[in-house]
Amino acid sequence: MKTTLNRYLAFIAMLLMSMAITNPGICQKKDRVRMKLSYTKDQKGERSIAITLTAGSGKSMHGVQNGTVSLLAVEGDSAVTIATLQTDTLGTAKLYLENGYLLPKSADGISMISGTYDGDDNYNSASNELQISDLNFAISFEERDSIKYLMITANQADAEGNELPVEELDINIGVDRLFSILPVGEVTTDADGWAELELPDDLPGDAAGTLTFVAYVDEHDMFGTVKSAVAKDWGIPVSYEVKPLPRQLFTDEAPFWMIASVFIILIGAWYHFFLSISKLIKLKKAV
Amino acid sequence: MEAVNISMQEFAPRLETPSRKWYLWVAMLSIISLVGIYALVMQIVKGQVITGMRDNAVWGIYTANFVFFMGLSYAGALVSCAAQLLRIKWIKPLVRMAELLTVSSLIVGAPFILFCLGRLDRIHYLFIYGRIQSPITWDVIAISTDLVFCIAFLYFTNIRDFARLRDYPNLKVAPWRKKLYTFLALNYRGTPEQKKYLHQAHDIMAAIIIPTAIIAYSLLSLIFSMSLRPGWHSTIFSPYFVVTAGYSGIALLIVIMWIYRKTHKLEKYITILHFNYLGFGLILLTFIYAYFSFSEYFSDWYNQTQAYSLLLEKFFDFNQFAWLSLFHVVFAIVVPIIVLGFPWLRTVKNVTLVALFIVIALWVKRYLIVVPTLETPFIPIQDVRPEYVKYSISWVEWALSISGIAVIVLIFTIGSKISPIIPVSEVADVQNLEKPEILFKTKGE
Amino acid sequence: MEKQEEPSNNRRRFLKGTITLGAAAIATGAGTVFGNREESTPAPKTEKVKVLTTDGKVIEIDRPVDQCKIDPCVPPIGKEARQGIPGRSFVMVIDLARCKNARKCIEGCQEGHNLSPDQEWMKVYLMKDNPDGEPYWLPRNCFHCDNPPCVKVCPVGATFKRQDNLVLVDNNLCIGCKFCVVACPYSVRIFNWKTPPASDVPHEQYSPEVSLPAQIGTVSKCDFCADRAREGKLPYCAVSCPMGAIYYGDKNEDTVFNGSETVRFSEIIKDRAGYRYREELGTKPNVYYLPPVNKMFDYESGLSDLSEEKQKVYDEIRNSKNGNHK
Repeated sequence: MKTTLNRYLAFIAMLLMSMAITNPGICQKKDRVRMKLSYTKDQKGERSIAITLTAGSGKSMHGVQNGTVSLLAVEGDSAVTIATLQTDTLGTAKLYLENGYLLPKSADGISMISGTYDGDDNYNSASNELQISDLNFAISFEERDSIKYLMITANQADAEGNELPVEELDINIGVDRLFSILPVGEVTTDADGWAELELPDDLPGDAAGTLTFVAYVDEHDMFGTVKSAVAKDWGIPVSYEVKPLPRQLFTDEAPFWMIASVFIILIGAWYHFFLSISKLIKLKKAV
Repeated sequence: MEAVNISMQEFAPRLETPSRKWYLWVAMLSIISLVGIYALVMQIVKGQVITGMRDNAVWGIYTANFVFFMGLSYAGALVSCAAQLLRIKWIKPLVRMAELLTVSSLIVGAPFILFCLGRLDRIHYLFIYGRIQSPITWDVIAISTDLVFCIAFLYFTNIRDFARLRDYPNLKVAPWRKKLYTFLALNYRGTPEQKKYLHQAHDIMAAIIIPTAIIAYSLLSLIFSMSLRPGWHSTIFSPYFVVTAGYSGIALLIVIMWIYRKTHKLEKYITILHFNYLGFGLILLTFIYAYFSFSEYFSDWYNQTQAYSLLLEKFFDFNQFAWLSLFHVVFAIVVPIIVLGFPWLRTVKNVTLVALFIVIALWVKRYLIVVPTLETPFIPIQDVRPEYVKYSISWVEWALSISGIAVIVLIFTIGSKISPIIPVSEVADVQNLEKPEILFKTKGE
Repeated sequence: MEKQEEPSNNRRRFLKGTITLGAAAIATGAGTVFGNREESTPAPKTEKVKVLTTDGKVIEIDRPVDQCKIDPCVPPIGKEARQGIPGRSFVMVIDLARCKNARKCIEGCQEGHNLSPDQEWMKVYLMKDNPDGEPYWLPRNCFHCDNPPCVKVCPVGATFKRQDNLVLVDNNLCIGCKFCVVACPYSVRIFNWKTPPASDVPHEQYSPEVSLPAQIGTVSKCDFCADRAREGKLPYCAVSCPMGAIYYGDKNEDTVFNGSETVRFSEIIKDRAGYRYREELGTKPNVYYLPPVNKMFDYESGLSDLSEEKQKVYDEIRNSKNGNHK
């Protein structure tokens, strides 16, 4: 008896649920919105927080335009609004942090940032949180037994500003290129926050052989995206001089032999033409 | 050749006030030409989308016509200059026709390559920004040189006739024409010194026109053979083009000769002998042409590389170009050999008819050079738009082609009103000379 | 500069962009690194950004856009466009194992270059190299040859070869003789038979690198998107490819990038037996193909979503005894 009742209840519950999903009257027409928060510190040390609102899925996925989003700094139970931003056509709003600006930090150096979006007629509200811890890289180079090494130390500042080593951190090392960063290797820091990477010796650099090495972590839970770049002349120099193309069939200037041939032929032909015209002039005069 | 008495008396009346019929004829030709100009204007206004050309077959009958007309011009230059240089007396009555053919087909042929241009408003860029490495630049230089030389030569051979017309009493023509004759005759009075100078001028011009025409026509072939395409990328294209040009030009000269002989009653000057000699030249060229055609295709057929095989297959596919190829082979090679080769078939009418078909077949040949290759690129055409896969000739292209022919006829019509179609002075020179012997003889009509 | 705004809109794919954007900053940040490159003042391009100041206020400031990877950022106009970008040697690597005829490269290219739907700078061919061969898809854009037959034959120098490998067309010079179309053995070039679609770019700003606005009666073709390279952006086809089949980069840097993966050019060519299409023609292309081995997709997956006519064309090739051609 009890089981039948349970089954009956379960059936009703399922019915209600399915109605809730299919019936627009019950379910709100609004789209579900996802918020993504990300923190970036680039090579110049410029920090920014980006908020992206997306709705829909698959092919219908799109950014939420002109959404008003608030960024809050969370300290314990209290939260202070630090900025209110509008999203652009891609659903992204970006806030740069001026160099001296310090995000409120907890004792272990972690800042909590929360983003909220209230939603509107078409979209549901959304919120998300982001932990930020300020990560710094120190990069140096060393050559031992004619093998080139890149050495990197990862540090994190606590509330007092003390540098603490970050251990077990996976750091990507790459070389900056025109369109992207060419990965050279990946290292994991030890207990001292230190790691080293043997560098390949056959990477082409610029005219002086300079390569820009970039150490980066991408969308790390704790540190966000952090990049640090150092230039070092360990590449193979590639000439960046603009050499004019030699005179060829496909260049603007024709090969000399070709110009010469054409002119010789033309001079030969027109010489005879004018020679015969001169005979006519003589003819006209010889009366 | 029988010594004939020739004098301006016979020809001067023909140059006098034209008849109504003549005006009607000129009006008709002008109307046809105007249709072509209308088509050209439409093409400029609406863009080349109204032609049959598309990506893949980016060139069509404009290019075929260009090659064809330039080819016709080549034979005229060769015939008249060779006659001058080698003192071939029997050609003399044909010299003016040959030169008119050269000049008119050059004037009509050269623009056909320009009709291909998408931007006719930038034509002067060819001279301002010309690149000497491009075969088109070579052509522009060679053809303009050739045109100037050929017009000059046409004029040179007219000087003595102009002098005769100037001195002709009671010539019933407009005063401006008399003035024109006086001006163009350059004070020529037939003094020994003047004769010497004129002869020298003639010889020099003739000597330079022959290589110029050969170079011009060889360069024409380079437009094709400099492209990495099956059917074009051929080392024998230059001589092949020169031979084809001579072949088509001689054939057309026979046709023109026949027409003038009939319409202007010139049997006295254009005799069976001319059909003999030119007919002999024609069969000689048929064999040379057949030999070149065979050489051109045989090695490619034997090798059967992929791209060439695809092209050759199209020549044997009756849904593609087989009918045209067959027409070309039959009328440019087989029929000429049979008709000209068997004495009992070799009548004046037959020779002329064969010559006419050779001209048409050689136009088809030019079409077969241009279009099938363009429709057979290395990367297969995977287009669903039929007009982008196969070329078809639009009304615009037909109109311009036909008006091109009309302009040539018009130039002949007007040209033979300005000076006699038989170069009176030159033929008069020949009167007392021996007749050249040749074994090849054509049966009378 | 309408055109430069547009690409970012086009890139709906959120393009693993953080890397590109971040890397873009290096160029301006570490300017000394590229000291040997020619110095010239880039046209100042600014964007409005929100900055949180030290005293906690949000202000909006104008600051230069960090998208310039090559100086100058604005594509040159007229004669200057005939000079290559110093030190660059652009190459493309197309991984045939990844192509499934999604045709997104074609669409991306058409959208970016304002081409009409029947004008394809990028084409995808169904190839079958021999009667028993397995068909595969071959995306083909301009190969930007080092010995370009098309440039040789141009009578007015409207198409030209640059030191950075590009072969471009200056449609202000083109007389439309179509000799280059004929000379190209890869059927790359197309002709503007009718008035091309209107463009936002004014005529005065025409640069051969941008190829906009197009002109009737002139030839156009793939321009390798050098204008985008100046901003550190991949060509339209490469960013549009959902499979990442198209790698693009600078051979001098020995690096090619497909939008998500950066590899060394020399290594990928060595490891994957990269080849150039019809090497025997001696044109020395700058587009390399990775053979269609271990394909990620069956070629037949590229046959769905096609019109019946198109299917028919492909069927003829699939069943062909002749290989590539019907």
